[in-house]
Amino acid sequence: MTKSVKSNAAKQKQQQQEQHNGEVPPFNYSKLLDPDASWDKDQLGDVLHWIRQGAGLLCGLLFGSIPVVGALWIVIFLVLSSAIVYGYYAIILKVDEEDFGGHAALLQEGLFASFTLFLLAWILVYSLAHF
Amino acid sequence: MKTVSETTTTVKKTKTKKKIDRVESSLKESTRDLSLSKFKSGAVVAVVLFVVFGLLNTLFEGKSVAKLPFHPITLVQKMSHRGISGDDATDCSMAFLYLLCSVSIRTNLQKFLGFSPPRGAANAGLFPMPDPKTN
Repeated sequence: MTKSVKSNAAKQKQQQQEQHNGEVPPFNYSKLLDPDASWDKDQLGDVLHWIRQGAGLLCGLLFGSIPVVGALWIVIFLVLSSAIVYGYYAIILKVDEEDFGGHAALLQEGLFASFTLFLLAWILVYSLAHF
Repeated sequence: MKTVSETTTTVKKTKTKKKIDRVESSLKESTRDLSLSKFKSGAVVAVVLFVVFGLLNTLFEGKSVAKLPFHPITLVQKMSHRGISGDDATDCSMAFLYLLCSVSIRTNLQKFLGFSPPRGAANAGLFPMPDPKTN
């Protein structure tokens, strides 16, 4: 148990050193759920962007199918998608947001595109399914 | 009186500084060339989009192409209710749907194919910032 903790810490130190040397840590899907993995700013930004797009598309399809009406659901979507993104980087990945530009920088990643995607999906499904 | 080692260090520093200046000026030139070629392709894309928008406008003028599941604010209504008769604010015009498609699909496609501009590079290119290093 102690050996594995030590080897993890050594691995993390080596990755951080590589980052200091200018090398970007390679991306693999296993690090998406690994709180010990080291993240490059661009890689993390991209992952958060796609999570937001997925949430936007899913919410749009769901809200259009039920259907739900009213501008309140736009606010609900914004809060929900931000909570998902926050939950991912703060609770699952446990990254220090100061290393990546603060909460605002991480939360605004892909926000506008996901908002328009959500509206598009919601409007299209609502119009096609119910009119 | 400077020792030999101090003189050598000074010479090395000057050489490094010259190298940095050379690399920076080469970077500036490359950035300028990149901006110029991006500007040319951007102009072609803009013309194509303009023609497509004009064509769609002609095809769907005055028609409601979708139903909005919410009442948009007055500012948004100017676009979403553009060219549509009647008072129903939930009637959606082609222009609004075109805008939504344009922003969402183009942004994500650029990101997916790797053509999105790097973060913080919005101001670089045609109008480079003045060099903060002044000697």
